[in-house]
Amino acid sequence: MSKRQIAMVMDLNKCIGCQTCTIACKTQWTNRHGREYMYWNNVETKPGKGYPKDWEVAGGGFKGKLVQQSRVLPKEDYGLPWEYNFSETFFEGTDEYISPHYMGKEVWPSWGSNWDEDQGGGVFPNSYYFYLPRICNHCTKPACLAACPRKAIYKRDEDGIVLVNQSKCRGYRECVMACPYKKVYFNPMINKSEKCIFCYPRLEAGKINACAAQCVGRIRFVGWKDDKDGPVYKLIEKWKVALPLHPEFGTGPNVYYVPPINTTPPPFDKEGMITEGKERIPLAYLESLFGPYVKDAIAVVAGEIEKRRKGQKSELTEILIGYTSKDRFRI
Amino acid sequence: MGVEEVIQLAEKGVREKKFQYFGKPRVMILFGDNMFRRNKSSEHYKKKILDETELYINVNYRMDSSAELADYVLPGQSHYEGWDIRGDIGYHRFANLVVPPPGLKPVGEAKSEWEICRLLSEKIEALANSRGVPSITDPEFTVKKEDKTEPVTRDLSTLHKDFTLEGKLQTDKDVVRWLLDNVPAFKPWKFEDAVERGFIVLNNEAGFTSPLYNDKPYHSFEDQVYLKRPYPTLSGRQQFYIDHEVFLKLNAAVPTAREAMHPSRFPFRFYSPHPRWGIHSNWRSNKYMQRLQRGVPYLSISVPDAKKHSIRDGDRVRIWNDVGEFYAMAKVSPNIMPGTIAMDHAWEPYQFKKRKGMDTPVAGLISPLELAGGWGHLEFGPKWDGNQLAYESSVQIEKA
Repeated sequence: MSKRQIAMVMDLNKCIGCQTCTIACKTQWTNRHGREYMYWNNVETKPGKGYPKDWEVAGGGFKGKLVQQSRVLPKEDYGLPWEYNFSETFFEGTDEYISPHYMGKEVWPSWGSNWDEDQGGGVFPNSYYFYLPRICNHCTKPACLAACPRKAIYKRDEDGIVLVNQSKCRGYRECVMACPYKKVYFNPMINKSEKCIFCYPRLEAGKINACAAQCVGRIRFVGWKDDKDGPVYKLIEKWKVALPLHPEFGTGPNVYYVPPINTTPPPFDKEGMITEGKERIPLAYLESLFGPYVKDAIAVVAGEIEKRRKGQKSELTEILIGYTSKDRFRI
Repeated sequence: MGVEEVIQLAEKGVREKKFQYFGKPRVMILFGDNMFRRNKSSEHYKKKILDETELYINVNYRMDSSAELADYVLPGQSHYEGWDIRGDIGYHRFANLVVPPPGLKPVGEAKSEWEICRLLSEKIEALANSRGVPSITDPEFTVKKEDKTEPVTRDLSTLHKDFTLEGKLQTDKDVVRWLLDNVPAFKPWKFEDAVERGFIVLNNEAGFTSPLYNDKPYHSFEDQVYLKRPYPTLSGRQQFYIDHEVFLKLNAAVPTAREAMHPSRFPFRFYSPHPRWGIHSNWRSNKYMQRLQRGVPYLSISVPDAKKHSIRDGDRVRIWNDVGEFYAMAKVSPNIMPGTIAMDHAWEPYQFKKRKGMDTPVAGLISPLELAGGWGHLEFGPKWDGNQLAYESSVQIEKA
């Protein structure tokens, strides 16, 4: 464990799935040098297979004290970073229309980082989905770190950010297989592993993470877990509404989520009438993602929103609205 | 109402000058629009326009579906390279200034739209003078002079001088500066302050149908609601009833919802909402954005319909009706209402196999009510743009 830990909370009730965070991260860190296929920050639709495809059932994490390994997922499951044949279509006249090309060949894409956008689950008109933005969880007990035979992965003492020492890494991919969130990526161009660095160069310059800074929905809160006046501490410890994703993986994530309220909009009954108070997103599904405390977290958030509607004051809704950058980010 | 009757109606409207008909266009200059991507019944539309115009010039900064077909493409600037004022004046209190980065060099010979028009006007003026055609009359537009209606005279010998307000407005920057100095709604902003700030706060002159307050939201028609001034309608009230013979004949004297005509051969309603990112076709072929979707044009179909047609997620499908066809990838989604197909709009036709875009099978019929001709407050001026029947087309789908 590090001396201090920086953490992020994301309010899924506010995420609109616009992918601005994804593009902010992509253009800052991963649009070049073998990182083209990587999304250190991705936003996926839940329920869904996500990015990479079926990462939730791939394997990794801890069973007791033992690190688990998954297979290495094929590059198609991450999605190919295809290019378009603009020149051939518009200027050389050899191609009829523009289409995705990879390694010089036309491809019919089969997966991507946002492949199942807006599909979700349920049966019309009671279908449902929500968005889940994901970065590296900068875990308290990182499986990637435990699995690395070169000790190339380290957790910074000053802020708990998990990094890959590029001069030590030999590209064995043990970390890729061990991370149950599949948030460590292999760079075939330099034969090393790379991952989300929590924008530490930005933090050290007093700037907030690119994904959080650009977030249109103001869903992201960044701060120290021991800062009792900060939004992160208050959401996780005081109000207990922010939960880790897949706690059963055993790595102790430091990215937390305020789960989506599952009763709004309410579902329709057989006659097409609205049934207030009934769940649209099955609670069991949310529990499979965020663990057994989902119900309590939702009850607290919904209760405080209701209080606010009645004109009463609520510290929680004030925090979740996150009026200014200063309110959301304390670094 | 049959086709013959609709044509007769249109011809009668033209004859009686109930709405404007400008004749067949010979030369087309297209700015700020991508109509060969956008307009319905795409294949027929493209052929008709290109066959009937002698010259088609497009002003563009990228190779879109309209630039591709032009005889000449004049290099324009993209949105952030030129000076501009943006904002729907009349509905909210702010207008944004677009200020190009200092020291920005134009790409190639790219020029602002203002400068392109100015240079064209300069050339037309010089040619008009050298050929001895100082002015022409324009019978399609009329002015009233001492109770007499006369056609507008277009003075070509001073076209450039008029266009630039005696030479004052040479560039897009000059225009923005002039607007800030002269538009009442922009006062008292100084050009330099507005540039520094990046946006301006409008004064209450900017209200469209109500005053614009500093501290209250905008509500339309306050004069009519509170001061009881008449609405600019025939009855002076909010009026929905129109007893024009064509409206009566079509049982549309009041706004009336209709079932669309969807033949059973083409059972699917085809909806094309705005894409969630991108402004129409701008950036629609951007690789970073495309990698966040399917990389190819896709449509969404419901789970039971996909099963019925043996379509799996990711399959290439063909969509067609009697008007046209196109190919896309199918996405099977529980969020789609059975019986419908939804496809985000604004894909460029050149992103599709056979270059047939998603508007190819959409007929885009004009409502016959739009051909009824003038009545009361319904005026059909030069800005008239016929309402199309929304979602009138239906389609069939199969695995390709």
